[in-house]
Amino acid sequence: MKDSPSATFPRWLVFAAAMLAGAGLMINSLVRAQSPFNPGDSKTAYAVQASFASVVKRASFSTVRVMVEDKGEERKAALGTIISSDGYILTKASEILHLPRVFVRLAKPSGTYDAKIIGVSESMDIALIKIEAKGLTPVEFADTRPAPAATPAGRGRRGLFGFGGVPRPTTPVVVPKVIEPAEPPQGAIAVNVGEWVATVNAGASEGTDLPPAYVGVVSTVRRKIYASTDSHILGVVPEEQSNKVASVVPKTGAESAGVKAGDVIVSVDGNEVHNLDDLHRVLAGYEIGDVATVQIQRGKENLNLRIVVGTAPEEVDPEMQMLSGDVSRRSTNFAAVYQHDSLLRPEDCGGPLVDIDGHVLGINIARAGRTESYAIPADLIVADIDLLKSGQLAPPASKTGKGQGK
Amino acid sequence: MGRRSRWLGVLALACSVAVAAVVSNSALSADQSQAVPATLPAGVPFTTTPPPDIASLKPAKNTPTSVEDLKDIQARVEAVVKHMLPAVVAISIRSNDQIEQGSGVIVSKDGYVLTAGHVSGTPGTKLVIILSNGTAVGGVALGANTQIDSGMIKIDTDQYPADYPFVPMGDSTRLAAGQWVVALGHPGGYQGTRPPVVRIGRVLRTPSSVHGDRSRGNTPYIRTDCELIMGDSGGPLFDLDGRLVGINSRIGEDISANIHVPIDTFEQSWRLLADSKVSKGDTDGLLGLPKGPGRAQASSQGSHGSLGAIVAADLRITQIFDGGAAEKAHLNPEDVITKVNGKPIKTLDELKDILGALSPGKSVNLEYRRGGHASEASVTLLPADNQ
Repeated sequence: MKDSPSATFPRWLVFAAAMLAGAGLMINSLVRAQSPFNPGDSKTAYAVQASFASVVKRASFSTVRVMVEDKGEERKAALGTIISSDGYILTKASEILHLPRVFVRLAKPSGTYDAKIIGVSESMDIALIKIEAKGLTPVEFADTRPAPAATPAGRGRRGLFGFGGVPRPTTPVVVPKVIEPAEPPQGAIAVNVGEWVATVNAGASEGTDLPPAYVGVVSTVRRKIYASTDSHILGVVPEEQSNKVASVVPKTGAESAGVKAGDVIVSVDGNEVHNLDDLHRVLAGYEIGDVATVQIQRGKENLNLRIVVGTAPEEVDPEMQMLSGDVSRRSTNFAAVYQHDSLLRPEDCGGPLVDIDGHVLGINIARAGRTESYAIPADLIVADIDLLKSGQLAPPASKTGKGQGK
Repeated sequence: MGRRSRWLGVLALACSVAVAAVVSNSALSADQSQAVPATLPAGVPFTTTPPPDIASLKPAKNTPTSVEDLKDIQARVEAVVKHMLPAVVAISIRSNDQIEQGSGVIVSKDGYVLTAGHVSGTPGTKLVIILSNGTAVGGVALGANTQIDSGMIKIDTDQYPADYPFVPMGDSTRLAAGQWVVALGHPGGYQGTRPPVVRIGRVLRTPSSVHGDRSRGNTPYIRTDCELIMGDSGGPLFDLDGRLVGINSRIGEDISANIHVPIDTFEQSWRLLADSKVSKGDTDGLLGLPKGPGRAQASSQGSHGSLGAIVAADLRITQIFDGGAAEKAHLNPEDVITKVNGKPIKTLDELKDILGALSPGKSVNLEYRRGGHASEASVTLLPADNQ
């Protein structure tokens, strides 16, 4: 993979043929991996879901099914979370934008209700819609404000390119200790890694008690999800073990700044760069959008180029897709999320996620892969409701019909 | 790639990144002392005792029927994660232009790490171990069993001295279908600021249920519905007592096909792994030998001394060592030895007596059964330390 083409950058999830080659020994001996089992033994067994019924009951009266009309057909788009008795509902924006019709089914009063999109929050991928209805049950969000130091600052994504990637071994060794969860602010509830979470079903649409759509546990600390799981990059592909540019990635800061193949990267904001490792280490300290002054040697010329640090273009490996099943069309670039391991289907995002006490921790926003689903924390949603209602975040003008924002 | 369709059945979980892009105990279990082999390499501290914080919690039911039951499960899951996460590591190996990434778990305070065989790879390979707080240290690959996919690594405590956090070992032979378990690892590879990621699940198939059919290649494994993906290889699977019961190995296409190496296979072949041996074949042969000091003796001498194989009490070869005499003679695991130099043999002791009297360099003619067929091979014995 040394000559990785400059035109496409694989996501970290793309695995080289080398990985599969290494797996060669395994395949013959484990053909029986798909051995049958008793469905009652699985975590998705009905008995397990049913034991959560009382936990989700209350929030289910505030949960609706959101439908869209797409290419002449009606289909499920998302779940929705009722936030006012007269019909303000939150849902997943990228599933409903740029479509001719969005509507909601209610059981009481029974019928379908056309929805208008009032506002869209890009950072959360949440849309506020409005139907004309009365007597609905608004959800009660829990106070999920985290302890001040709780949300990790910094990168949270892995290195394809430019990201700090694998840290260097250092001494003396700082050994990890058992971490006591931090106390949340007064009045707020804690959300602990390992605790149960349940995805509430659309009780307001079905008119009846439903067990949760899915259950799982909180998998890791609350954190920001970057626009692409690729790294910060300048957009240069160096030759092996050197700081000479082999090629420039299209649509990156390096291309815009006029970096050319054959250029030698001397330093980034004064930090010397001799090879890719150095480049990684230096760029680990940058945010997307930062401007780096990069000293370049081109033949006998010494240039100082200002290059915007960006992200590599997304690309999805079909194999990872196959193993991941259905993932949401937008599953990255969220201000902060709770990550959990529920087997959430993309069309069931947009509704409440509750803990074992029925507290509404947030709204499910994406199935992001085989092992992860995300929910936007309630405190972030609550903070933006007024802004969403105000009209200042009215939806972007339709261009190609794809739901993606920027 | 046309190759892809062949791999749909099963995929190993190490992940690699191209470089131009470069870059990274319960109230349920009975007598604990019986669950653990008594023999271990000298100097490896080893425990089966989970922290009292976990042991004192109410037991978790396999099938919850009330919110109380769910809270009992939750309390244990949270406690297991809290106490065991510090010992979960990411593993990074650079080879040529690739970085291979996987996960692992520290099992002793002097830095023995268990992982998947396809992560640690060739003995002697240098690798980087990233602790759960983001600190990196160096280490080296020890042994592996390439068929079961067990592997062992040692943190270089000369260069990186510390008292490392470690986890208690469990007993995978006691797993029951439907039992709750927790898997940790680094799905997708190491991400700075993201600690090891937790998945809950239940045991769908136990090692004994899988291994019942001894047909070729069917080595024991644990199947759960803890969703795993590339990068999770080598990470730990814990029961709700907080004991290590498995190591993540591979997945199938189905979301419920997540495969882990049973911890017992590590315990049985501990000496081999720590001595940087690479072997294939299941470790069941060692079950034919008595637990306790007697077993240690049997496995460290005699039966594999110069043959380069482990032979069970029923004369079935269970492990073949890379580069050993048996491998050179094209013997396989599951071959059953019937005669040595024309003399029929019935017990392992007879085999050991005959081989023990022969010096390295001598050849023996072994007759054996493979499948239904009789065969023979001439085996040139190697010096014991050639293995």
